[in-house]
Amino acid sequence: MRVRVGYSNKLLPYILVAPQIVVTVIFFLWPASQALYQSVQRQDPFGLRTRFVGLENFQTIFEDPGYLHSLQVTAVFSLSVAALALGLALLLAVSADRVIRGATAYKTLLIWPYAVAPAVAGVLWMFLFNPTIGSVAFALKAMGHDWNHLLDGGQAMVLVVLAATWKQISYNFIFFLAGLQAIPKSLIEAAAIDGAGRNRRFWTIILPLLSPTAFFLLVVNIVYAFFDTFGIIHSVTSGGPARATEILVYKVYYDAFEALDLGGSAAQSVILMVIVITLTVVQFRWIERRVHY
Amino acid sequence: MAEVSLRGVKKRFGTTQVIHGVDCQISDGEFIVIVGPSGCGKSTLLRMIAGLEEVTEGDIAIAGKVVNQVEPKDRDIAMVFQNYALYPHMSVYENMAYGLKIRGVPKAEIRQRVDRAADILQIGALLERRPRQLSGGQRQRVAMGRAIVRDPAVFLFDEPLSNLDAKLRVQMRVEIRKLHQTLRTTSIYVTHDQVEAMTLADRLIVMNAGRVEQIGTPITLYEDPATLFVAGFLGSPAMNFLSGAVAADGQSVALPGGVQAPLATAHAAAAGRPVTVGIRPEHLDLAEGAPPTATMKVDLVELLGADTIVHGRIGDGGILLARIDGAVPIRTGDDLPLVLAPERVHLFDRETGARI
Ligand SMILES: Nc1ncnc2c1ncn2[C@@H]1O[C@H](COP(=O)(O)OP(=O)(O)OP(=O)(O)O)[C@@H](O)[C@H]1O
Ligand SMILES: [Mg+2]
Repeated sequence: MRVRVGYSNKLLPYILVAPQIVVTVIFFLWPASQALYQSVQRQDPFGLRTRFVGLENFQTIFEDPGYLHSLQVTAVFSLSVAALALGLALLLAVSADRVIRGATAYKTLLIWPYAVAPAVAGVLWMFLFNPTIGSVAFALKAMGHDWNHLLDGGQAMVLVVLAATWKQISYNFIFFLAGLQAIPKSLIEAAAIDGAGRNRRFWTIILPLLSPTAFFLLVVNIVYAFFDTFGIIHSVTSGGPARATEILVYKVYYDAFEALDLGGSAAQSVILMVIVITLTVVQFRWIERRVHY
Repeated sequence: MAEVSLRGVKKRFGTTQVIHGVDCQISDGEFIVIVGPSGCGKSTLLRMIAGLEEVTEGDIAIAGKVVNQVEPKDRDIAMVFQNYALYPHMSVYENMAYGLKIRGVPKAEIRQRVDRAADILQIGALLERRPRQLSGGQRQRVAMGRAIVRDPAVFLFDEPLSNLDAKLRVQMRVEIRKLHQTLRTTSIYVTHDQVEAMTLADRLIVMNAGRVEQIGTPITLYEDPATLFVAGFLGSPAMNFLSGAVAADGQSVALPGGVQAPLATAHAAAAGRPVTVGIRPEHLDLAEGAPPTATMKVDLVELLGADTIVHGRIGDGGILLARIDGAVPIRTGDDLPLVLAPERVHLFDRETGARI
């Protein structure tokens, strides 16, 4: 027999979910529908006239070498950030898992960067690497590396990747550490008795058991690199030099507010929306499956 | 196959000492059971033999070689864990093959050895399954299989049956015993179940609070317990303990209620001393016409069919349990005349608990 738990008052449940619905409608559905609407419109530069153009905006985007370039930049940027942030976080988590003394202090320190706002993190890294006053740039120069991310697109990319990675490591670290601590000690001991050394235990036991966590984090990190890194890009390079670090979200912003191409920008947001929806679906599918190892 | 020897083995975690010096010689092919109450250090001792815990003091030698500084993988041992510790992301076959693969055994031979072990343990049909698709008993078998394919010098078991239900436990106990008769591999088995301990062991090590109380064959420990602890730990229902005093001539012992129980050997040295007297319930018999040693006032009767457990008293404070063969018509309130064979009376020192 199933016991049904419910409210006797018919109205109460609606009142209880109303705030959530209101927030969703105002901050998600309305802007999303606006973007959808705008993506099939074209405005003149002064915003005086708007007309319906169908899918023309999308067509323009995919024929625009600038957009394709931005797509490529985004791919390089997000894959680098995800790979670096996952790799380093895993390394730190494995080390933290072994630390016994001072473990709490170590973990707390590692979690701090997550509390720093993206723009602030960006400014921080920008100052460190500033070609004229940055201490890291100075040290690099002293070692014979000429650092100037304001001129060199490759260096600019390295810098934003570093800043974005630095901020995401904490998040990954927490998940990896929790994942590591959820692996029963006796499994590791059994493997040790079976003859596996430390490295082999990592690759054949620990990593496979962490793979659900790692996959979840991979999706989260890609979403992060796609969307949440706007503040970093904006404060460190503004997409430059010569659009070398212009990722898709930044281009959405730039095209709308600097280039004043509202329709084109809206079409780009729609494409981003499709990407994020796809990633989310993939992730949920995986999470449903992940108990299966 | 190998012998294992422990010489003055001690273990400290920080400042708390957990093992207070264990000495033991385990011969090749022997089945040794370490038994004791929870927290007495059984697992710690086993883990030191496995190399999972460092030895604080003393030596552990396997096959004549001191292994204190040797990694677990180089000790030629296999261990079965209480929670089985099967690799959840590998099939049963891969679980069993893992150790062999690492040791570089050729594929064909791995296949052959896993198949043979699976045959012995009757898990041949499960080889492609994942551990989570197995019942507790099947997991247990796989864990054993993983140990035996490696053909190690020593098997270590840490309460391998404690997660199984009672019936399966009895069945697996028999199988482990049979397996040992086939393989003859030196085995060290930790348990806190005394039935497991008594039935499996060639020799038993009884531990208490980090110390070895006694080492010997199950029957020796049952018949001649060296200490009060061993006497009380082995046997079910547990041994009766009464306070008594050895008579001046050392020929008998005075029990509560004015009972004089004769002793098999004269304890002249202990004459007049207050002692703890131990009597197993199964060694108290109905007098049936013979002159009774004591008369027990019956408080409660438990009819188990095969035998009858009688709870009662002799005098004040002399609480006794008697186990009588068969279903005997005894009622609460009866005065039950009992006889007690003198050689079945155990005397223990009040202070040290050592047998007199
Ligand atoms: N890593 C550790 N650090 C500190 N103390 C420990 C550690 N491991 C075990 N101990 C202590 O050592 C004692 C013996 O533990 P052990 O696990 O060997 O007991 P056991 O005899 O196996 O008990 P059980 O039958 O409950 O498994 C316990 O008092 C326990 O608290
Ligand atoms: Mg234990």
